[in-house]
Amino acid sequence: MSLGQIVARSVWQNRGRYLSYFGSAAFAVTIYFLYTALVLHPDLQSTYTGTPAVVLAQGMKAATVVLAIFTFLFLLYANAAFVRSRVKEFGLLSLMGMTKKQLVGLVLCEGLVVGAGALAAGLGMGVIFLKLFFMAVSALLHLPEQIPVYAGLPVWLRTAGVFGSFFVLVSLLSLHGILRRSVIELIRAARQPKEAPVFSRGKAALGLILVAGGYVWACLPSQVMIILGIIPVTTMVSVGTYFLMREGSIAVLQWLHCRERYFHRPGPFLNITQLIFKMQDNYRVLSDVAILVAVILTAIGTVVSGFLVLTNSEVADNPMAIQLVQKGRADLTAHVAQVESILASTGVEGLTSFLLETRSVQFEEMRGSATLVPYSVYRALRPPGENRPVITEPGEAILVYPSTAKGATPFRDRVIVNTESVELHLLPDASGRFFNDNVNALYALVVPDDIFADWMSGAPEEDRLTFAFWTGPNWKSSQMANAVAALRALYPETHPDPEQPGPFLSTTRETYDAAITWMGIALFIGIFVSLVFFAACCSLIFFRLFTEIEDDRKYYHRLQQVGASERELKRLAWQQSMVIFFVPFLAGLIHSTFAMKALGTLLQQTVLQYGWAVAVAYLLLYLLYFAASGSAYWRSIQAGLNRPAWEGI
Amino acid sequence: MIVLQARGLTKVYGSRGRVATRALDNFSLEVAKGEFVGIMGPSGSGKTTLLNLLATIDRPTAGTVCVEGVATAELKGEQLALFRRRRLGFIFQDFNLLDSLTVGENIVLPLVLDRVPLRTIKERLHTVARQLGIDDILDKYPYEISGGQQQRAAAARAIIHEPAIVLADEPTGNLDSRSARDLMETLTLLNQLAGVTITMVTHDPFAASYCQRILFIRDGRLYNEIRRGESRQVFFQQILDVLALIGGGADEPRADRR
Repeated sequence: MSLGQIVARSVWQNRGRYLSYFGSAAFAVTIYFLYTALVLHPDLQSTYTGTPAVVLAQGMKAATVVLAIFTFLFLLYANAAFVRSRVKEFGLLSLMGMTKKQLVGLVLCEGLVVGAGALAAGLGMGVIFLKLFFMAVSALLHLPEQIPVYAGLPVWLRTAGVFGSFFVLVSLLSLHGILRRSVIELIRAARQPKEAPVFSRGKAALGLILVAGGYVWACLPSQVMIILGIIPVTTMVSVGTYFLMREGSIAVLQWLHCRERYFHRPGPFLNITQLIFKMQDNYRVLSDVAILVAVILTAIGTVVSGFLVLTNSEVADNPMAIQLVQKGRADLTAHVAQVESILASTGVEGLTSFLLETRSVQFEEMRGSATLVPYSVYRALRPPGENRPVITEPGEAILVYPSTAKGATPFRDRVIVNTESVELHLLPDASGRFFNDNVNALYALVVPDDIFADWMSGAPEEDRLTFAFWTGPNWKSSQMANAVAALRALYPETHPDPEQPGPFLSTTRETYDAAITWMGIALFIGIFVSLVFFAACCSLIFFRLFTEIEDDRKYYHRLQQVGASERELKRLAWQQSMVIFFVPFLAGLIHSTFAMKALGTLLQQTVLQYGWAVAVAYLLLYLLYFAASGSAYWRSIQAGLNRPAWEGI
Repeated sequence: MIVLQARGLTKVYGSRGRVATRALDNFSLEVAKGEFVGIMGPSGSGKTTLLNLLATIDRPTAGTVCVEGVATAELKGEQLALFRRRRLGFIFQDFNLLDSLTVGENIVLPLVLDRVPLRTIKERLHTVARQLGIDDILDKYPYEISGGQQQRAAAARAIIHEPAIVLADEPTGNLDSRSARDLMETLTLLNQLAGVTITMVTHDPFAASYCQRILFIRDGRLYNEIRRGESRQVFFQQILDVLALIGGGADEPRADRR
């Protein structure tokens, strides 16, 4: 039998273990290939300079670097786990007289065969999805025509070069672990008995303090403290996770162990005793996975909530579905008629229109200015409710703040109108801007209609503003999108500009679309990278599950001999893999919940729900992976059952 | 009272085009309650096949196995597993203790699987641990104790649920001569004082000399049967004589089937 045949056979026999490694690596290659194809796209340097496409490519460039580093670490880890699980096999080969040189050849060849396979599969998938990828990018960026598909030689060279060198390097590094052991160590490695774990009070306390301290810090209400805490809290919680994962699981399991009545039942009896050893062996990997899950969930949760918050605030800053504004006194009736006809022709319904000539006034104490709004218009747009006061007494006025931050109280101030100073009792309204933010009208001052009329007369031209606006709940509709597009052709300028005739147009819909595009770009970059992370982190668990498959088979076979039925064994196998899978996910989820809490403090909004929504999405993927791995695990165990009792393993 | 009854057991291996091997050929056996029966024979004589059939792990090509009057061939899947764990006890050459359980937990495993109340479990554990002299190692893990102690723990596990019969496969195969003697004396004690019915397959004439009756198999058939008289020494000599006749006897290298 030649070395080549041994390599082929050994890869085939270990295909179950290789598959997960292979799949994750191929997936990373595919994503790297696609991103690189966009980064190196020649049109980005010419046709699309200065568009969001360039930003997208820049983001993907950064993402490919992260992806490459992470993939390298993953391959290193996976290979180490892989070699460890086969140490005994290498020992036997040495015993049979295989020289070190041949062993090196075997390991290198195997690594390269699998590496080349993963590279080929990854590139193949990349080519298949290339067109789809460019279509998605074009759709995402609302490009009028699709970016031409591109996969030039540099893309191939870069992908193959980066990952090819990774596979070679990782194979070489894994040799180190095999070569430094003697034959007897290699053979013995698999038989080293495991010691029963001992609970360490000190480490448990340390872990608890670190994690709880990190959580408390993340819950502090101060933004400064949160920013200061990013690095220390991450470190504390990560380190604490390692301690808690081991000591916590031992403590819980030993406590259950002591509850005799509960313990002496078939399920708990076998699960607890087996898990005490498994958790001890696996706590490092489980902690790694928990931290990875926390990072992934938090990263995607941050992107999602960041952009949702941004989108919401952009929309809140542009409450008028359509707003035309002109500085000074102007007659907008012709424009209003034009807008109405466009709205009618595009089929937009349910909008209320207003025409408002107004002015700004100066505050004495508070400094700054506010745009006047008659009470009747205000009331029509904002019916009484929370944060929306009502004018009852003479001398009262409502000050509409531009933000939705709570905490303003009524106060007195004087405003200067036509050189005279008037004292007002100001009631705060914190339900957001009144006008769209294309014009300098941050604050709005609501006064009774008669006072409004009084103050308008004799207003200087430079203080005057003329608005026409339409509001209604249908600003998101597709008819509205058409109407907005038609209006934009008529009024190309958004911000008032003395050089341009005006009026100037701003719409909720456009602001929303822009925000959504940016969000799409960030998600597009982030989700694929995080999926690679996720696949890798699932693979880590998969490796753990299969590293000791021989021992596990022996265990289940012995149980069967004592009289456990196959159904009982199946339940046990599934329960064991469930714990191995879901303990780290749960830990990661708790970590990321606290991280999202901290993010909420930074954004001054509750974003937990976005974090959990992301977690649910990932949980579904995770469940799929669990189902696949669990059944692979059970099949692998089952293969060792039903052999005559006396044959042993 | 007959506990184990095997009639006309035949097992033929290899059908797919190959030459069929008749591992067991019309073999019959009866074990009465409280008996200690040994089964001996050269390698390839069919001992292991016989034990697999008695243990209900393998199904015979022809013939029946009845344990306490229950025809095991009629039990299916789950029922069979339940039957095995309730009515049979096993002692294996390599002990077959679970590494993740303490000695005590290993012993009570059959009772736990059967959802026996905790109080009964404790009483039974106390009794068998005393009988086998292992009550101070119950909290240790298998890797912390000697091979002889492990095999006694395995014996305790084999009898804790009071099975109809204990089937032992080369129980002394992995033990040094001193531990082997200890174990055989313990099994004899269990047999005589507690009335445990034991059927043991072995290569070792010394271990076999503790039995009351020995069946010799050759080529899948009963070759000879001898009963023990008063003296174990005499019985030992008789065994050696039969083995010498049967060919490949006492000096045969241990064919440990692993």
